Amino acid sequence: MLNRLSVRLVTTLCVSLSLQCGLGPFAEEGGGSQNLPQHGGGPFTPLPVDFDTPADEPYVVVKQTKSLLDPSVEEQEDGTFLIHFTRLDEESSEIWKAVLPGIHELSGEIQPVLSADQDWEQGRVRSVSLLRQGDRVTLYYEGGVSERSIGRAVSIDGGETYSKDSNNPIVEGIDPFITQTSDGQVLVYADRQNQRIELRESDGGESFGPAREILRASFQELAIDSVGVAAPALRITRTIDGQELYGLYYTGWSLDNDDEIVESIGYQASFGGVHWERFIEGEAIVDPGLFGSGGPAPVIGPVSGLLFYHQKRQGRGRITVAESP
Amino acid sequence: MVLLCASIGVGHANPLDMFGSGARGASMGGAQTAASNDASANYYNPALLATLEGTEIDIEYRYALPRLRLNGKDLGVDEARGTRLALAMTGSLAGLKVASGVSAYLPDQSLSRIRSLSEQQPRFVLYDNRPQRIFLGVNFAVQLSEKLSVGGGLGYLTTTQGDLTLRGRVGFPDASDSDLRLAIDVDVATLAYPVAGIAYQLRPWLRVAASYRGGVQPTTDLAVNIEGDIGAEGLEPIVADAKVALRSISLSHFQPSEFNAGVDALLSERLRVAADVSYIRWSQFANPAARLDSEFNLGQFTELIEPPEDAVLALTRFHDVVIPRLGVEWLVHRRGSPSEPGREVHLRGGYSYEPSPAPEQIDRTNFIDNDKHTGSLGLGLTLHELSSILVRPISFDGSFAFTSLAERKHRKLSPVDRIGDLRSSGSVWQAILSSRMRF
Repeated sequence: MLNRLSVRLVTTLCVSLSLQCGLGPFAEEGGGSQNLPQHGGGPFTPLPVDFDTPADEPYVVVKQTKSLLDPSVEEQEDGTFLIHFTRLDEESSEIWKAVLPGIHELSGEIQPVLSADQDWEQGRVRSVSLLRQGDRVTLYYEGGVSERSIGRAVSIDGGETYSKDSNNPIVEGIDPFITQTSDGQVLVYADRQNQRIELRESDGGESFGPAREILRASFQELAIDSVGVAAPALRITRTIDGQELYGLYYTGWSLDNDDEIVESIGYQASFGGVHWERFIEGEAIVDPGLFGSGGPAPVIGPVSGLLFYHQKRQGRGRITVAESP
Repeated sequence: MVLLCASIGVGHANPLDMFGSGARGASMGGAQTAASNDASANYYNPALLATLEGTEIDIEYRYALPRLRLNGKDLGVDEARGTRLALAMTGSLAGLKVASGVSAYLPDQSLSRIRSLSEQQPRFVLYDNRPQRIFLGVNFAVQLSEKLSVGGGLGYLTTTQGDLTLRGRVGFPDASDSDLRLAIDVDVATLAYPVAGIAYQLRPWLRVAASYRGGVQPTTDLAVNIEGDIGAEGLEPIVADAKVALRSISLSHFQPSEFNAGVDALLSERLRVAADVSYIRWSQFANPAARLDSEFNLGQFTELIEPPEDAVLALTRFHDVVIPRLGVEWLVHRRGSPSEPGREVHLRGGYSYEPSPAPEQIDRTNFIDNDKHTGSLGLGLTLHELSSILVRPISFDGSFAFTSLAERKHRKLSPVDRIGDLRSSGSVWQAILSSRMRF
């Protein structure tokens, strides 16, 4: 309480100063600061509320009575964003999609993509990740309740319809994320106990090699991952010398005063994917605020980055976005 | 407010260091330590003022357009425009020929831009604010013998120090209800540095010279204070006699000291060649990012305030550089006789190579700089006895220079570096028009 009051006091002082002096951080700057490059790990800032836009910043995909979680985002050629996500209510868990015209717009109508219809899925699919190769789209997802695993479905019509793999489930784990490398594919996911993030490599995507642990929850008090990790997202780029640079976004779990899980998004990176270094000493890369932040989906450009993620407000997930710088 | 204070301060050197002084000098690659023959000697070598005759006034306008890129994207570094005025006068004192001169450069965008950035924010450190500042130099010279001249003077840069204080009542919880009185006390002070030169006429056709320009690193010291009660009007204040004091100290507009040696050779009646070597002490360059001191007295809330951390600034690890310059001046046209010319046209060219003093930026700082190759061309028209009033020559000079910043890689040691690897490159186009009037 006192902390909040003191923060308000300081904020008041700052606002007073700005009002009295006509000073502020928004003065016109000299040149030299355009197109500043950035690495992609943030930190990210949630969109400020702007009453002059049709959006409900920072929320971009919202559905009354439904919980929308774990976004997977593709930036399309026309500048819009195709967002796949988990649509969850008390009866079902399905994968849906929506097109977002821009981060200051609200998405169009959400449409179903995939529902549970195989025994192993136990009536539930969620946590989607897509690999697009022309018109062929491979969709990785999590299914099951008691024994959660990863399955996949393939579309040959650009993602309109999907056929599930007859070998499902293909990997024991949860929260899959698939990405292309120069010589194959990489699948990252969390283990069923949310203790670690693992990575498996594949030449052509048919089968994956052995699991390699790339992140383990710190279990340190006050850390964002003091009780677990989940929902990884991997971005592979190259340094200017051509070395592969792995950037791993992940959801950390900690406990609040009521022993409820609080989600926060962290980031770590590695040259070559072997030795990893955590960003900002393992702190959150976007302010989790009062409602937490999880399920990171980065869309990173050379001079700016967007981080889509979900927030659970009053227990209902909404998809939101933060930007960097 | 913390961000505001942290965002004030910094730039480097003065605009003449970047682009030279005078169209003639710039078109000869800046190789003017021994070859300057006009009031731009105020900048290049004050000893040469004593080699002039009568009174001379130079007026110049310059324009430089940087196109500096990181990872292929233009950073939008500001163009540099400004006017230079220079005056030189000669006379005699105690049987010796003496001269004095003054030179001033006035940028026409900002008299002086002070801006400090986080040490992590990439910037072309030698171009960011360097052209955006006023410059003034005052010099004296004496010809000790027919062959030997010496000169010296002072150059001036500006530095900013000041306080901004708000006193009264800070409205809480409604900040717009505040009743505060503003007091601003800011000094734009001058900081002088020494300039000295010597010139020796080794042969009738050959002059050697050397000059020294002192280095300075002005400090920008700005403070913001709020003093008073916090609370709503008419009610007992929540905090009485509160005080918040923030002070930003940054090293602004660093100018390295430099030593120059030059030679000027009139190889034939029409051909002059000049060469310089400059030793620039960039190793003295300290991290210019702002350091922030803070003091809070908010009564019972003071202990709950986390003041901004006193971050340790990284070492810049710049190193000294040696810059070679070469200039050529060719008399391509003359109407009249050599002793009584009516009109002369000079064609000039030059080249300089400036190695970067900045190391590869592998850690958290991003002070970007590249090796620079500059090629220049110029044309000069001198009219003699233009009228009965202007009996002495009047000259019009123009120069055009192109600087290429050779591509450079900055490979980061940490995979989680906020900026990541950088590839820097760029170019700078520059044009100068000047006139020289002699009386």
